[in-house]
Amino acid sequence: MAILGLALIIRDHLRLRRNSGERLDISFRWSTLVPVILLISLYALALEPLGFIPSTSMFLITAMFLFGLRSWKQLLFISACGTAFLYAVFVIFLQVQL
Amino acid sequence: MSNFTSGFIQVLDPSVLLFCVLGVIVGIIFGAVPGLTATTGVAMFTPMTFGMPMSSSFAFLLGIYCGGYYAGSIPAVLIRTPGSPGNAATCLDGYPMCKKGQAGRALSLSVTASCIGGIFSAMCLFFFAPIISNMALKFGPAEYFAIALMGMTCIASVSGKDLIKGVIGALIGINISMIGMDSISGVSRFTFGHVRMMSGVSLVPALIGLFALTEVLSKTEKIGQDDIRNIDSFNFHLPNFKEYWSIRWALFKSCVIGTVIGAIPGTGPTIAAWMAYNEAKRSSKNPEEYGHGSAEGIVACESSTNATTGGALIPLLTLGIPGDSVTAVLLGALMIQGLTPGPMMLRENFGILSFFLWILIIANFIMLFLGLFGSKFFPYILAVPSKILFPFVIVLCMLGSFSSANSFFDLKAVVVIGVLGYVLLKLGFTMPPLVLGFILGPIIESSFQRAMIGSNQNPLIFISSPLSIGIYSFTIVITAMMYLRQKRDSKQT
Repeated sequence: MAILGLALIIRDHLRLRRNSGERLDISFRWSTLVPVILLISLYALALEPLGFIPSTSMFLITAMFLFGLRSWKQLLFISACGTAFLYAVFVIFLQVQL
Repeated sequence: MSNFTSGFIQVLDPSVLLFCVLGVIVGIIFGAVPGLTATTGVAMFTPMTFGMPMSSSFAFLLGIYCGGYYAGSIPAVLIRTPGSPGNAATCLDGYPMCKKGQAGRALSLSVTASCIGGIFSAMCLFFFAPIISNMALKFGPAEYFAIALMGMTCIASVSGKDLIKGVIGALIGINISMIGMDSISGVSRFTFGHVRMMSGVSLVPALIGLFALTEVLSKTEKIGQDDIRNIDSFNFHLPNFKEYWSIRWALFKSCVIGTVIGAIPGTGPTIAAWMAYNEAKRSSKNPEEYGHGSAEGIVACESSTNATTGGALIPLLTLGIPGDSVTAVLLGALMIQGLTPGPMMLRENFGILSFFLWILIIANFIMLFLGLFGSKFFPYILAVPSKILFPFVIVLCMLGSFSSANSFFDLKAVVVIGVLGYVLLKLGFTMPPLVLGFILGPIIESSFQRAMIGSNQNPLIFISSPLSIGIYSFTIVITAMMYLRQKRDSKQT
């Protein structure tokens, strides 16, 4: 299977070379992407030591800020309500051991 | 007959009905917000069904399934952005109709067509699943191997624009599934000496990572630049029976196309919608209307999209092989409930089939009701800014993957898989081959090993039974057909 996979990759690569006029158009918007991925990884790591409420509220605030919400009142209000709601659903209703 | 009614009694339970309504609402929201799909919704909510009884959990998930497939047409009609790829064909006629000031009519057409398609396919599921399931009882490991191989090949050849990328995706999926202990010999593979890797990548985090987190990541790039479009107010419009009677053949054909395409593993609503649309256009009395707000066009797309729901459940319930990406997630949900999808499942719990039938019918009627009378609220769903919505979606993904096994390791796994999936998506891969490779990989492997052990290491067992030869030839025919179609399409463009 590994050999087959390698063969496919090489074939694809060769084919791309041949019609190198049409390069694959791959562009990443690093400026938003990298912070988002970092933030999600941080959240995944922080849930265990920090616990649900602090890490989730922090995550919501920073994520919404990153995505362009700039009003502090809204940020605080939405993340507080959101965290409370999620806490109610997951921890109280579904009894997840967070 | 008693089988037919036994499920009905289960469905009448108020909590089941409540969860069904809830599911349809959640499904409509997920389907309607561009960037979130029914698959994302089902993947995110599957872990939450862990503590529910089977009936409520499936009422909820199938409600999301039906509602989500329908609701993709709402933004397609109102803002010309399909809520999910399956509804792209609806834009062609729905949006022009909306421009003519008939948005209410377009929405009512799409929800009624969806409902008819969904109910038609649920009936097909009920009548054909037992036949296929009886056939599947004759399957040994060798035939299973052939079926799983068929699933893989179809997926690779069907989904996505590029055949080779489909195959690579499926192989990557198999490679992910190989992590952990071998199911027969117990040798640990790709664990890097890490104890947590021994049990492999679990299904739910993998699905959430590949379907939900990947989608969210690919949308983050567009967040902040979404333009707010004005949606004109529209009036609520009741379906007109005469309108449907005049296009009954187009409607019927689209339902059949949707169900059949849905039942072929790995295909799904996108292909069904385009096929039904083209077929309806070809056989229509007035094809010149298409693209300028033809009612027939909307009905064809929407009925076939929702007809894939029942169709895709056929291979899931009879063979344990998912028909599309949502059923791949439902496979995980069935396992959470302690059921192993496969030929034995229907034999042991036949009631589940009639339960699915009734739930699908009721979910479709709830959808019809909400779609007709709730259409006033759709513009508000589309107005929720993504910068607020997406952080919550991410949190739900993370909590969902954690709660499936209460494992912090799964949380890290979901991030890694999500990022991997995102990079692949950017490189032009599609997720369904990968996921189905991940699900079918273990089936292929264990049935291969069992067949070899059972036949004293004689490889001829794979081609010695007429059943498996039939399955192989079917595979070759489908793959060849899809390959030719791709060639033709690429020549045209």
